[in-house]
Amino acid sequence: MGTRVMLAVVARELKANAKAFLVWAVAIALFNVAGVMKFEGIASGDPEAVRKLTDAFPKVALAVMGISDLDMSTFAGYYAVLEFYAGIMAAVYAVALARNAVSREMVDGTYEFLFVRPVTRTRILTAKLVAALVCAVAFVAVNLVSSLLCLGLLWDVPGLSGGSGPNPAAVVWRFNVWLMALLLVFGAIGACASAVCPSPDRGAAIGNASVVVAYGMGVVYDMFSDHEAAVAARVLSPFRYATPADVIAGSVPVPFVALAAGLAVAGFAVAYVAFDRRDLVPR
Amino acid sequence: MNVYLFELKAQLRGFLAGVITLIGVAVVFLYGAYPIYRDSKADVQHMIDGFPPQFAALFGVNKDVFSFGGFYRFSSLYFMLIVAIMACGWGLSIFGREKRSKAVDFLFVMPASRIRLYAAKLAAGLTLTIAAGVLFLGTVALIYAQFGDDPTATSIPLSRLLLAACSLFGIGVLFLSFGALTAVLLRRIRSVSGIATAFGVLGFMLVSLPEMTGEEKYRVISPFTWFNVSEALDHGSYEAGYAGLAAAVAVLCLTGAAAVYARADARGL
Repeated sequence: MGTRVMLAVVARELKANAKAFLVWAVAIALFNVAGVMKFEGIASGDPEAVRKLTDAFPKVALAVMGISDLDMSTFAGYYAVLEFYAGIMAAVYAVALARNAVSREMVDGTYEFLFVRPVTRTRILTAKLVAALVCAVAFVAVNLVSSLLCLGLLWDVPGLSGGSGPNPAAVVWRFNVWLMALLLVFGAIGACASAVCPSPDRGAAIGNASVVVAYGMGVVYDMFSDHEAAVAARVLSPFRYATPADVIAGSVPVPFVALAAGLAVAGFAVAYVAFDRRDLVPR
Repeated sequence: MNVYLFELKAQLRGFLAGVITLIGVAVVFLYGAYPIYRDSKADVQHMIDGFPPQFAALFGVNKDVFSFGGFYRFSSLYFMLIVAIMACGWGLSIFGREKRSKAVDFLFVMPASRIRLYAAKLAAGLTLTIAAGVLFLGTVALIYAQFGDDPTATSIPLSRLLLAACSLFGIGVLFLSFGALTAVLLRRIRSVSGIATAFGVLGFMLVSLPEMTGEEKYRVISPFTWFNVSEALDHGSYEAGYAGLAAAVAVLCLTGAAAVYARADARGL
C-alpha cells in the first residue's frame, strides 16, 4: 500500500521535474560540446616558458583569473577548468532539486492534497528525494556521456594520448564522480535550508547563497592555498574539498571527503526531522 | 507613482543585501588583494626580462598589467556575476510579485492601464540598478584614491577605470530585462533566488567559452563579454557592435515583456 503511494509520488515528481531537467541537460551538453571539442593542446609558445611565467605570478592573481595550479596545455588541466564551471552549475541545480522536493507543495499551496495520502511524511520526503536523486544522476550521466563523446572526437590532437599525464578518459570519469559528490552535498544543504526555514523563499535564498559563498571561498582558498590559515576557506567551500589537482591525480583527501559525507548525512537528517515536524502554515 | 514607490520599498531589503555584498567583494578584491598582487611586480618583471618581448605580449603582460585598472580587469567578472544575479532577481521579483502572491486581480483593478503599471515597475527596477551602479562606482573611485600616489597603480587613469566599471550598468539592465521577461512568461515562479542564480551562473559560465577556446564567435551567446572591459581600459571605449547587440537584446526583452504583460490573462486562484 505504502509502496504504491510512494511510487506514485516519485512518478509525479519526475514528471514535474522533467521540463527543468531538459533545460539543464541541454545546457550542460552544449557547454561540453562547445568546450571540450575546442581543446587544441599546446596552442602556442613553449609550455616550459608558460609554466615559468605562471609560477612568477602571485597566486592571488592566478586565482582571480581562475587558473591556479592548473596546466592548461594538458587535457586534464583544461577539463578541470571547464568542470569547475559545470560544478557551479551542478550546485545551483542541486539546490533547486532539493528545494522542489522539500517545498514544492508549500509554494503551490497544495500540501493538503499530498498529506492526505495514507503514508508518513518521512516516506513522502523519501519518495521526493529519490526522484530528485534520479534527476541528479541523470544530469551527471549527461555530462559524462557528452564529455566522453567529445573526447572521442579529439583523437588527432597532439599530446592528448600518450605522454606522462593520466589517461584523459579516466580524468573525465573522476571529475564526474566529483560532480556527483557536489550534487549530494549541495542537495543536502538545500534540503536542510528549505525544510528548516518556515518561509520557502528564505530557505531557497539561503540554499542559493550557500553556492555563491562556497564559490567565493573557493577563490579565496586558491589565492592563499600556500598559507596554513587557508584551510578555513577550504572548509567553507565544498568546491575545494577535493582540489582539481586531487581529482586529476585520483587521490582522495580523506578528512575532506569525510567532511563532505558528514555534511550530506547531517543535512538530509536535519531535513527529515524538520520536514516531519513542519507546520503547514497557509501563506 | 504608487506602484513605483511600493516596489522600491518592497525591494529595499534585497537591494541592501545585494549592494552590501557587491561593495564587500569590491573592497576585498581591490583593496585587500590588489596590493599583494602589485608587490609581486619585481619578480614577474625579472622573469619577463628573460623572454622575447612578443612572448610577454602574448600573455597580455604590458606596462599596465600591475596597475589598479589591470587588476580590475581580472576581477570584473566577479562583480558582473553579483550584479547579474541581483538584477535578474529584481526583475523576477518586481514583475512576478502579484503572480507569486496570487493577487494579480488586485493590481489590475487599479485605475491605470497595464502599460502604465508595467512602466512604473520597470522604472523601479531601473532605479535600483542605477543606484547600485552609482554606489559601486563611488566605491571603486574611493579605493583608487587610496593608491593615488603610486605611479604603478595609476598607469590607467581613473576615467577609463570608471568607464570599465560602467559595464555593470549594462549587465544590470540586461539581466533585469531577462528577469522581467522570465517573470511575465512563467506561469508560476517558485523561487526568485533560484532562477536568478541560474541566470547569473549561466552568464558567468558562458564567459569561459570564448575565453578558453579563443573562438570569437562564441561571444555572441555570452552576455558578459558584450561589455568588453579590456577595450574600455585600453582604448577608453566599448565595441559598438557588441554594445548595440546588448542594447537590442535588452530592448527586445523589455518590449516583449510589456506586450505579454499588457495582454496576458489574469489567472484566478
